[in-house]
Amino acid sequence: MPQDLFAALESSGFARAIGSSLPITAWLSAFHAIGFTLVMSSGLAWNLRAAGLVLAEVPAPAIARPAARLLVTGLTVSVLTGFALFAPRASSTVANAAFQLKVVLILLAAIAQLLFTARVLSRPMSSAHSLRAIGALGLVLWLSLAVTACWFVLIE
Amino acid sequence: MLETLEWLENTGLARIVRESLYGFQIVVGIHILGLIFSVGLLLWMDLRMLGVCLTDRKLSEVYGALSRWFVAGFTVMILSGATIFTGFATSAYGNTYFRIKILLIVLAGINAVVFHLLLKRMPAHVDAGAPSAAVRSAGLLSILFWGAVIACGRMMSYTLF
Repeated sequence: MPQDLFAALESSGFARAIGSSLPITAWLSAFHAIGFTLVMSSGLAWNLRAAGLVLAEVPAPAIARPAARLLVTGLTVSVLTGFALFAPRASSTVANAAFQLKVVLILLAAIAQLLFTARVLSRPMSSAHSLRAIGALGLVLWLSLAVTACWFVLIE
Repeated sequence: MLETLEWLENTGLARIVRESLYGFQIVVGIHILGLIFSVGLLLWMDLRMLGVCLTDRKLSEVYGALSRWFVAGFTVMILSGATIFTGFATSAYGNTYFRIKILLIVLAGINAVVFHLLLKRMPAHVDAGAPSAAVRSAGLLSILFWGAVIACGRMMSYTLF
């Protein structure tokens, strides 16, 4: 059933218009990279702060709030442009291991960050140890995502 | 110029980038990680300069906390970028997006150096208070320059190889 859905998506006018135009694909890819940089900027800054590696004297909520806004903005740009890039090659892309891992990691990293942000904002006195653990876990997730995204770009 | 570029393309480093099984992939991966650390963390400084976040912190304090991270990122990005360039020097030199990208990096660098010099002489009330029009302009220019650098980098992938 999902295969039929992907085939239908590939044969849509939207997907064919993108797939047949190299300039459109290239510009979508350029905006996707900008969206990805915003997402990574949010993930890096928030988790480096949580781990106590940067701006350690700044209260965690002062970073958590703008980081969450940056994450949502970056994800919106990335998902919209990513979907447009995915549409012309949906069947082959969905079978790609690097793509599957990238999607799983971005979901895990983004959900974890938004959950931890909500927790830090509701209980600002979170202990330094738990914040450090959150930061270390987040950094592992986000850097794994960056490596996987590089892998996906290079095999595409 | 062309002779120099051809010489570059025939160096051992260029051959590793161009011909080895994983050389290109590894250097591009390092380049992207450098980009994430440099532009990703510089963005926070730019947003502080625009008065969007961390406004209760001095500009010099935010700069001091983030600069070693983004300078390290820029060092990695420039070294890996130069390494990739050796492998494809002649075609990159003739590529419009590559030329625009280099011009934008130079402009972003000048913007950063001017801001760095101004920050040293900045009065305390400007450092700690709401950003002046000049500071806001520098922050906005930095975001626009680096956004365009990233876009040109991706456009190169579609027009160079």
